[in-house]
Amino acid sequence: MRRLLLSRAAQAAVVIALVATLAFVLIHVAPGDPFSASLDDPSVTADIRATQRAQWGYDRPLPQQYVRWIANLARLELDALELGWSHTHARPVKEVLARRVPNTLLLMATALGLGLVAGVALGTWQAARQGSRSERASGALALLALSAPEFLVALGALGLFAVRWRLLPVSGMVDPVLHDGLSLAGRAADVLRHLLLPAGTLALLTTAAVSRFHRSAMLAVLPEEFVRTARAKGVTEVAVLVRHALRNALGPVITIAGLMLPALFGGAVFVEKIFGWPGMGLTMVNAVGGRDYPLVLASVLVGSVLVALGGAVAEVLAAVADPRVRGAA
Amino acid sequence: MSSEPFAGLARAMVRRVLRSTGARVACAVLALFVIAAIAAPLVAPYDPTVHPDPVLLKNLPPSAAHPFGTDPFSRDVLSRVIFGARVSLGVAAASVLIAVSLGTALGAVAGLAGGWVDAVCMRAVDAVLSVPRLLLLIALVASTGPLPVGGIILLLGLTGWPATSRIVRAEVRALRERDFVVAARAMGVARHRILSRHLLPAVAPQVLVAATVAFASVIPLEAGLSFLGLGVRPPTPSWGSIILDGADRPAQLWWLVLFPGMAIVGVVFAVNAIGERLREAVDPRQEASR
Repeated sequence: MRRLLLSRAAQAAVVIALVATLAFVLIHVAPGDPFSASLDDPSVTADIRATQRAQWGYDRPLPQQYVRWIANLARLELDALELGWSHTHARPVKEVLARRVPNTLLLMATALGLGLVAGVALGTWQAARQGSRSERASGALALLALSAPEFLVALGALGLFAVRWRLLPVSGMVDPVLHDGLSLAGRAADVLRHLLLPAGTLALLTTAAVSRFHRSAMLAVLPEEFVRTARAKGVTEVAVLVRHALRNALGPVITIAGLMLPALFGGAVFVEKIFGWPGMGLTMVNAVGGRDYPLVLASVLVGSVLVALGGAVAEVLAAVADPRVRGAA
Repeated sequence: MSSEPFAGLARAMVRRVLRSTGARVACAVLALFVIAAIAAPLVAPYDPTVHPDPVLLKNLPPSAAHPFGTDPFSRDVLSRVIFGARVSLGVAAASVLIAVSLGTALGAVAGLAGGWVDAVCMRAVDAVLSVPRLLLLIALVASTGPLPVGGIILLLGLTGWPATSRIVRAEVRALRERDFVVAARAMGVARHRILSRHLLPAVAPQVLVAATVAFASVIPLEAGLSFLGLGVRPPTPSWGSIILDGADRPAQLWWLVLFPGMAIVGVVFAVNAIGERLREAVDPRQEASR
């Protein structure tokens, strides 16, 4: 177990270092630096810009800047980590992201939670009903859902549920007029109403992917001897499926959840854009439109780091959930 | 030293795919799209980029004259979807070719070399795979600025190789110890010849499966980039950019979302279905679990 933890931590560190390097290169390849944006503003003189550059270290040689960039990241001195200035928000990039990251995490965690539960349930049911007409139909539907890009599902859900039938809010995270006047429970319900469509869109695709993996994992476990023993003991079929087979297939499900994080994050970018959910994805896409390079690259960096850490955590959890791995280490 | 057994496998794969009705339908759907893409100027009723009458002919719902309606610039959506097939399928095919070639080459080198070369390559693959590809592409496009179609193909190709390389590497490592390779090596056959005559033909079926997966994932990716305004630039129609034209009013301008959307889902679903049958043909154990 300790070896797994160490190797997984090392791998996550390599990924973060690579992404940080890439972000650094791109920051300096991109036209201008964070302070040339204020060129648009005539009241910012060349003197002020030079002072700002010196203050943030942009006047030093590139290798020195690079070492400082990586060192700040490695020491986890996030306060010292210079992500730059966002001219579209007129505040430091760090402040912008600090307010957006929790919203993305809420969206992704809800979608992942819903998708895992629904996907495991669907996959278990499919394994139990293997070969039946309904099982085949649900499998084809899952493949169809996986063939649809997130933005298409999101646009469809928005057009039908929010615009045509007016069941749910069209955009945003809270009601812009009523939210502040509501009680605590009312505000939670307000966020939930806004969360339903974006999280549901992502959860639908997660369900489809998880059910496909879980179905094959269950089919691999069902012929095993301990399952036959349980059946021979007279354990009911539901108990066999839930207590014995499901318990064993849980490890793969967690691994899959970890492997799906990159795709889920990519999907969140579209879903946030379409539903106006104020998370990192929406911030990033709008920053691209506003040529706010520091904000774009910082979002990519933070997003990749979060996904890498999530993947590492999932792999360790999968090992914990699997009695064979736990016993061996 | 012939590649006869592999030709036999190829025939068996084709037979197996065509045996299932679902896959036959999928092949027909795919063929339809490819023909539409190639013959676009002949089958499309209108010019996809000309704005005939931005006042009277804009945002028309589907009718006999415009079966898929018109867009906010009064262009015929059916013609744009047909010409969009050229762009979307062309970009996907070209970038998959780049990605799969790169992936095969890297995977074969890593698998054959073993040792630290292999370790470094596979760590790099793990690293690239754990970064969301969309974020990588957004960062790249944001720093290069708007790209021509060739640039989009290159970016998609250069970010798509890791999955293939992992499959090829595993396959090459397994084959390396097989008798026919060991025998060839013992006879003094040169390394590059072993690779080109023995290993590559043997991994070809797996590469084909990897290519279908890559194709099915790059179509939505290109559409998504174009939808965000970061991919194929207007007025060139791509399925993603047609949807973008209707994205701010998806309920009112539903024909701008539905028809190109159906094209995307149709192609991806067909490729996925064919890919699944191919995978069963390559690895018959898969079928036992169905």
